[in-house]
Amino acid sequence: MENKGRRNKKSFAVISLLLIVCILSFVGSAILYFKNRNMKAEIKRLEKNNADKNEEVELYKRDIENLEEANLELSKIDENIESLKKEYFSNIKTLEDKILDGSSNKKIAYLTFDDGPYYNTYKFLDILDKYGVNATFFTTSINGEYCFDNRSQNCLLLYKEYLKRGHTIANHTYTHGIWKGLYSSVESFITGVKGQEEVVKEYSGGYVTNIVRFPGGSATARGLKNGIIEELRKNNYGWVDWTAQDGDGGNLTSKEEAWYNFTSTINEKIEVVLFHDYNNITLSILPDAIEYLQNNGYILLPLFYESNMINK
Amino acid sequence: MRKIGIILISILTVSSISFLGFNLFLYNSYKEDLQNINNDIKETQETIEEYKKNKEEEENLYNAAKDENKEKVEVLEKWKIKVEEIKKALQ
Repeated sequence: MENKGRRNKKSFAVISLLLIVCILSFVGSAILYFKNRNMKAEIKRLEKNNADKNEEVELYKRDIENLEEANLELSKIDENIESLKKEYFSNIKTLEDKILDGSSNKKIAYLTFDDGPYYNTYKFLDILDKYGVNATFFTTSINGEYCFDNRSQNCLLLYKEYLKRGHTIANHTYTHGIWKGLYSSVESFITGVKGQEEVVKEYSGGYVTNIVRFPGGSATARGLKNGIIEELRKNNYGWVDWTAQDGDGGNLTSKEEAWYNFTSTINEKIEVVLFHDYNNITLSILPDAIEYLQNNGYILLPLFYESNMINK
Repeated sequence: MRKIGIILISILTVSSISFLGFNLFLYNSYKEDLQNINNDIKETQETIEEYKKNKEEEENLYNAAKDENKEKVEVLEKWKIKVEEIKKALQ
């Protein structure tokens, strides 16, 4: 009897213990279950947060790459401008070749302005700007340091202005002294060319031009022409006359006369047009002349050494 | 009967202990994951701060160079347009 009682007590203790452990385990599990559920949600939220931040990192990376590229481009800007210029003139040469061999029906007109820089030159530049046209200025130093433009600035500042506005500068000799010994010998002509080359270099900030126009045209050199051409060739200069003009190098008396001269000389697929940037009649017809050329399919471009129009 | 009862309660107790063990394992695992993700976020934030600083430096360099080369940038853009115009004429 006693043994049975003891066995019952023992069983009851074991069962109670097991029940307590069981209940505690379930309660513990329940607590942990809810904690785990919250942690899981928190992890999910933080993972999304981290993904957003990683996206932000990628955006910053891209921005920095773009800025580095832009900075590199800026550091090479002079190089890039020169490279674009080369490409530009190379493409014009290709276009000229196509026009001359008949494989393109385009037309080119090279506007050229002789004898400046002059007090009027800014007005010509402003008109060319308005039409987005680039031209070539055959410069001399006739006016030199005593010339002041219509903005009361020394004309010599125009050398930089030509380049700033996208035009090319060419050589029309230092003195333009047709009646003052320029054509007295080949040497005097070449001295005039080299003198003007130095002026262009000095006042433009280093620009070198190797295109020459004979003052009065190459025919003015008469018997010296071939000798001069040979010397120019030796010194890597090219030379060019013109194929069209408004007659402003002579005694122009009216707009109508200038207009007639101009329109009657525009015939070829590639024209080199002669103007003078001291002439007010030319200044007055210039907008119409530009429009006339553009309406007749001409692309207006600046001259360059490799052009087929430059004699070498 | 008593023996069967004890056996059943024992099985239940073992199961509940196992369940507790499982939840404890999950708890530790999540705790570690949480720690890791917080570390990742901290690192990412530090990277962002660094990139922010780099970006600012590059921007300052760019703005200074742009101001210095303002005219040249305009010239460059004009030449790009001119090149495109001739390319069109060649087509």
